[in-house]
Amino acid sequence: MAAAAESAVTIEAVYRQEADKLWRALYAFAADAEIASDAVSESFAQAIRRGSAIRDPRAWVWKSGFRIASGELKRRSTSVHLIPDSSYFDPDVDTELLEALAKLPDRQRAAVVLHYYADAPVREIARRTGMSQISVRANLSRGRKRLKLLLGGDRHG
Amino acid sequence: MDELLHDRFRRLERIEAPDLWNEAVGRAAEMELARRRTFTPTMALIAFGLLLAALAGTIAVGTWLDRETPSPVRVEYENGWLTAKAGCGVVGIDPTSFESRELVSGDSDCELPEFASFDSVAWSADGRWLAYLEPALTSPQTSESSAIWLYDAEDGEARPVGTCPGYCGAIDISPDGSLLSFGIGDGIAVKEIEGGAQHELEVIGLSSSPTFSPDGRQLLFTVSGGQTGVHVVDVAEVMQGVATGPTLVGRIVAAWDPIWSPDGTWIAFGQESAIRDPQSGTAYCCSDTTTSLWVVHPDGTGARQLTPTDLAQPIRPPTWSPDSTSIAFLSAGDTEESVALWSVGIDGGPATRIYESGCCVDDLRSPAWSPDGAWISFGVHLNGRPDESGTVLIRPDGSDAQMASTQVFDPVWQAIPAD
Repeated sequence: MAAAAESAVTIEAVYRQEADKLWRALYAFAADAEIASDAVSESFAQAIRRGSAIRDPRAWVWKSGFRIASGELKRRSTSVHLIPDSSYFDPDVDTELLEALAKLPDRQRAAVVLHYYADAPVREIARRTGMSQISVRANLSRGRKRLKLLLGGDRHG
Repeated sequence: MDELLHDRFRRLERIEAPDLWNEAVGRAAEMELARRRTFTPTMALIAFGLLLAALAGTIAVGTWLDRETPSPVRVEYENGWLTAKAGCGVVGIDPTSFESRELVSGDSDCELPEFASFDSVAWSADGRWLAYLEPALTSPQTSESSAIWLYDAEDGEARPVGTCPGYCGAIDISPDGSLLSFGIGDGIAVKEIEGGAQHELEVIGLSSSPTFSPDGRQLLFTVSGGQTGVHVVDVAEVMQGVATGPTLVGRIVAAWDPIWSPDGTWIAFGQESAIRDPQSGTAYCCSDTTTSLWVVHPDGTGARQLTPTDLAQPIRPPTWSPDSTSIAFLSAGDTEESVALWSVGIDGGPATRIYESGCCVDDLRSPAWSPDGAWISFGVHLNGRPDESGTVLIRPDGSDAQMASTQVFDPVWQAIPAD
């Protein structure tokens, strides 16, 4: 019981440090606040249950969060492209950026979000997504190029 | 433009994220409650039945662990097999006949985690032992472990030899087949195959999996942040717990994992100019127009730039010719969506283009030069062009391009032992 309580405290500490950033990253990835919330809740719930069996909770919840969000996107999406969630109104949402992200394949989108938003280096992106570093570099390179094209080169939105 | 992208993504910080901790706790409690409901007296009978099934399952698992593999692969030392992970199995392609066969069966129940890439394979120098990774047997969907397997080309048997706790990236095997190396958390590990002893070295900011030098005495890796650069450490010192190592080249941002030359006298790497955030000072990778291919001796001397920064930027780890005089690399092609394969000599001559896809590359895998020097292989998938997609074999002069397989692999050539 004591070990479980200590583990829960550890997971909560990770939550306080990571959850907001993870949610925003998943929101940018999925273009859907509900998917982002579900993925964050579920990944931390599973982390709480696994407790000390998880060696690196921080990396684990990121990987789990992206896995859950990706799975939900595949389950829901029947169209080729995502449509950003317009029901989640926030004046600070860069809808042009989200619409451009939605046009990228899943892996490119994940790599770009983790690099540009979470400031994660290639190896950390590989850890958080389960991709190989080679795949990360390729997806990051292509995603970056495609984003630049979609956002209009040097035009600053 | 890179800085503008960073700025736009930083605006995401202004979005208020919901507090989901209580919801997560509630979900965890529901999961626990659902688990406990199974232990009613009625369910005890079911549990007994499940126990019997588990015993049978254990036998099945044991069978899986000792699973039969196809008949042993006859080693063609003239060429060596072209090998690659294919899902949860390992395939080999005979480069003379293009016959493709399973070296290790992909178990039908194997389930790769979402986003996972278990493509890493590595041969010992005698061409006998092949190390590769698979998802850990338990909880593959949320597993944070990889199982390390060893395939024996002489008898065709594969066996598990350990696990990588946490994400361990690519795996490498020492030339004599006695040691494994891989990344762990913020460090590197050297694992003895016989006995399983594991020796670790903390490396803050580790950004590539370590690889053995051709003589097996050193490990090569890159660090990003802190002591940014290309590093070499002594294997014996890692195993003794007293490792230190020089930084080969100053503060660089390496584009991809550095590569030993076959004779061990050079290391090739991609170097990029870092873009620094004016506020935080953090160095970001990359500027697409300033990546160049470099070589350096393992002692840090002789650093040489092989490609100008405005030439086709290397986007993949390159491959060395077996005589250590040339390097082949994939890079951006003539169009936005195309790629090209180039070759450049380390003597400083101009790069030569060997292959141009012409269009629409959707997936791309690292090139590999055959041990006999006859072929360069790489994987490519072209959107809408299945006949031009797969694992390509091409002569170093760009001639005789053909498909070794319709599947897109990260090919690795089986080593040919020295006479």
